[in-house]
Amino acid sequence: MTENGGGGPDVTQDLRVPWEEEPGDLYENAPCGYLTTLPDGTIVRVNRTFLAWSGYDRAELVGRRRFRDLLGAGDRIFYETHYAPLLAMQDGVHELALELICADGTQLPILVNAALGRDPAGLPRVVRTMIFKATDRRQYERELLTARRAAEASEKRVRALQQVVADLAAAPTAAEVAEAVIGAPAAAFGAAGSSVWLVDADSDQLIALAGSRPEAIEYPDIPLGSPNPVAEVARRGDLHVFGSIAEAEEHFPVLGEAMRPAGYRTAVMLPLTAGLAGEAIGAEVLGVLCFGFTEERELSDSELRVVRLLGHQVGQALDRARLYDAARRREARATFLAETTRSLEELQRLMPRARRLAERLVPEIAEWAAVRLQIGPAGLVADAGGPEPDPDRLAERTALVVANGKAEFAEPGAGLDCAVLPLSVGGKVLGTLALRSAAGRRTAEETAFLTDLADRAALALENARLYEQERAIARTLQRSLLAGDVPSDPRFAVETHYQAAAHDLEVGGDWFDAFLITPDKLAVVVGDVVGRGIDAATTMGQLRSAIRALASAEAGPARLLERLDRFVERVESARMATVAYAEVDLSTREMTYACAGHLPPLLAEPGGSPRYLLDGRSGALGSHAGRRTRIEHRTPLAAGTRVLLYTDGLIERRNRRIDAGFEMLARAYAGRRDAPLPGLTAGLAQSLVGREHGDDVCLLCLAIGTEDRLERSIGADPVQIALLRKDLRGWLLSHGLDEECTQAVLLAGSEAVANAIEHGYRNDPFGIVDVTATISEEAVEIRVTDRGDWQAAGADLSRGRGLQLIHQVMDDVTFDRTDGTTVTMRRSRGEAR
Amino acid sequence: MSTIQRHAITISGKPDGQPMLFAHGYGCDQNMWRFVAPEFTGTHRVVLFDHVGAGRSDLRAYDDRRYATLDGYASDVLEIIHDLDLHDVIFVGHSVSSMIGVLAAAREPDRFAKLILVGPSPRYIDTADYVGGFRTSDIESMLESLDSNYLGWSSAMAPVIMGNPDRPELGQELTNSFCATDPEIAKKFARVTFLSDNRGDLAKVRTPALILQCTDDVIAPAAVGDYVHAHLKGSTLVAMNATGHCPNLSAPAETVAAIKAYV
Repeated sequence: MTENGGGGPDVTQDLRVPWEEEPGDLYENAPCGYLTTLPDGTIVRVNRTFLAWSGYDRAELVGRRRFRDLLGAGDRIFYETHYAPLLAMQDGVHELALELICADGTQLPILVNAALGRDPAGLPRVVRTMIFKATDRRQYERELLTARRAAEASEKRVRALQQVVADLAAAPTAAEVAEAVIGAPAAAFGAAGSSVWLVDADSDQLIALAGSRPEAIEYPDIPLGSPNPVAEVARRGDLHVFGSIAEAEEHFPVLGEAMRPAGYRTAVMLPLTAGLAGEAIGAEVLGVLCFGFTEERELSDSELRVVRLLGHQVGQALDRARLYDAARRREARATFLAETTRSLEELQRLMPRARRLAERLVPEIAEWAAVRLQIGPAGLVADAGGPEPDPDRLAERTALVVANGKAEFAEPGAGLDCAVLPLSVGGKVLGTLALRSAAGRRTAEETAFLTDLADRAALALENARLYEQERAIARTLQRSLLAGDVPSDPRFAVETHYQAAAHDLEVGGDWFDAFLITPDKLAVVVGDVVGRGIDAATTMGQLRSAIRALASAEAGPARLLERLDRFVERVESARMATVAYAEVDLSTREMTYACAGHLPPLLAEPGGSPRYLLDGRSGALGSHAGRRTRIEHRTPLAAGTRVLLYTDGLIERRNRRIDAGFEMLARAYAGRRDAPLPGLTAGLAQSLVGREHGDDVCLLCLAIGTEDRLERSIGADPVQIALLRKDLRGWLLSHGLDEECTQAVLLAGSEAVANAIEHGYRNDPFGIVDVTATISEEAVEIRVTDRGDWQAAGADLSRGRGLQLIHQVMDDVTFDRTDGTTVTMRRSRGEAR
Repeated sequence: MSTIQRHAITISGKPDGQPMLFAHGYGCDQNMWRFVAPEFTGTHRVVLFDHVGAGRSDLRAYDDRRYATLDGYASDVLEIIHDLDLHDVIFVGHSVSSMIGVLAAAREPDRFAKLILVGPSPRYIDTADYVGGFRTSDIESMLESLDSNYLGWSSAMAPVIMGNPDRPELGQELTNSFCATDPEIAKKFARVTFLSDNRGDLAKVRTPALILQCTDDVIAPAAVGDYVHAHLKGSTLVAMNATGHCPNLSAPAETVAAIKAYV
């Protein structure tokens, strides 16, 4: 303040109290209490103000009491743990709030400042303590504290609510919603425990989703219509708060029983609704949140507001979860339908498809499912799962569905807990799909799904049925085309084999043919039309007929193929067909052949190795690759030569090089050089492709001329005897043997082979029987050799019944047992006998 | 988080000396050892730390569940011992930390050479046949006291203490800044401390122990000291002239002498 600046003279010098201020009086009657204590708190001096406030006599305090002793028990702890350490460390404490216990036992709120005085050595010597009365202030502080506590509790509630809202946003399922909310009552209101119940609209029940106590999740479901308090609150849709067990029992007698074991004395039951706050009335209740407090407690208005808000937030989250769930289920169902369709398409035949359909439905969609096809009087049924429903009632319902073409769904109390849906396409009922749903509940969504499923299944089954039908037609067509007589003549023999693909594949376009162009000219054909199914079978028939029509004595194979090229220009489906075609002049034993894109024929001359005929090759029919003129090749055939024509199914494999196929065929063919012609082609197919083949196989083997000497080796298998007979008969006849003599030789040969198999190879199914036959102007000789042991045959070989027959029909029979057993049988020809 | 930061550990003294681990009691922090610990730096490796929630410890490490019992604090002591690779430890615990040391030594006795227990009490609340010195209502009243004296804490002090743990000088400018801490944690620690009952753990300890019993200690009265002495095998009881509960502050010379005589 500057001189005169304040607008008046400086009067501080004049402002003195008109009496002498005495220090003792100032101390004793100061407006605050003074205490002087030793470092351990022992009171050594106290002023009058303090004595007046506290009601103690000076003599009671000085030297007798410590400051600490004047405090309440709680403050005494505070003194020891906070006050005294602070004083020791910072030489003073400031504005500590304590309660002074007065002489009359009343408590006086005080504020305390204290200073620690040290001696010259720095050791504590004295504590001077100043005490202020703080009654009003402490009252005010208490109010502040209460307000702060309320604010903190409110903030805690809001924080808890915010946390719940954040958690709910990340909870896509009802279970996760329940998990997120289960801790909220404890966090926000200090509840002792809580449980979350979900209304399941499909089953009309309340399901316990979560509980703060482990056994909560085991709570049984509560029917929504039951008198259970949870169900009651869910029906009413408003918040119930029971501040005591008595109040709870007043409303719900059973609620007290639930509260007591949990130790609850206050219970809150909050409906979880999806509507906005304020629209609670009439909003759909999606669940109930229950929580309890161990004390009797009233919820303040602000708490109730938060409770209601919580209910709406959780309700909305449940609603969201319900939508997510529906979307997820729809997606899963769509995926299931798509996968079912795809899975059914993997199979082409009808019953396998029906079986797969039933198997796919269990257990994902149904506990039990049956696909019944209207085929035959009883129908064909494929089912899966179980247990099966009552057969009579099912039959009744099935008949109804077939008659009306309308689905019948399981209705509660209808006696039959399964749905039956028609499998119909274009109004035609192919069969029925019956199933007992795994979910056990029927919703519009479920009904739509099952209908969709039945429609798709019907389409897949109809396609399979059409496929079956076409396949049957094609097979019939193919069989009828291939069934034509193969010519026979002593000068040649033809053996054919056709083997259809093993599995559900359509018929192929493979074919063979053999026909006489002129009495002296034989044509043999093996071909393959591109594609499969009824079209391929038809085309094959056309090509087969065309070849027969176009073949002529003058043309020859090359000309024939050129004419076929022109033919396929008009028959598009025959384009790219392959053909191996050969003409054999039976008088000169000369063969002319040509291959149009077909695999090369395999030739085996007696005593030689098989070789592929690689000449006369040109492109597939109608391919127009290179020249328009076809080439052919001519080769003489020695008597006894065999020529094999075949289609690619015999040697081609997806995982094998074609060279390896050629090699395997040549080896198998060479191994059967001495096998009888009958059965040869079937045997080759058997050993090269077996049963599990994926393609049609067609073979034709032509044997030309007559061997002078027949040499055959057959396996020790009675079936082989018939084949040998056929072979031997052809050979004998081709040499002009008369019928009686032929019969005799066939009988003797067969018996001798039968003996060799039966006795010689009794213990050896893989033994080989060699048969040799020679013929001269005078006689026929046949020799049968085996390398078996004949152990079990008995002592006298010549006594066997077969041998008796042999002796009867043959002129001369000898046995040689030096190396195995050889029977040599001889018979004179005709009149020479 | 390293225990160094979590517990604001300070290490001083002889690097290869036998380690002395000083644990402060309820109400304050490692400052409580300011007159005692320096007396051992010439001979020992002196390790001071703050319990989580006290002093300059990392308040973020406070976990309601971990610190719901004294076992959590005992685990902290063992973690410090492991992290610093301390062996043959002389554990000096004041007040509640005496019992924290008892729990730690019972769990891993191999690490401890001696226990110095300053004003130990295994149970503060009286029972029919045990005198702890307090009734439950006293503890509630003490919590009230805490509330009254922490009124200004959150507005004025919290930002300083919590925001600048590396600048304690800011805190020291404030009133009663020593021992200041988050009142919520202080209350929880108070409950854990004063409602604990670790009488059964005394028998599990086989580490030699020195009990320093003050005169006229309301927190741990003489009867309690006798109880501890009787139930802690191989313990030595020294009755001190010092009064109150904090001889480490009120009578550091006597305290140091008693400890030195024992170690």
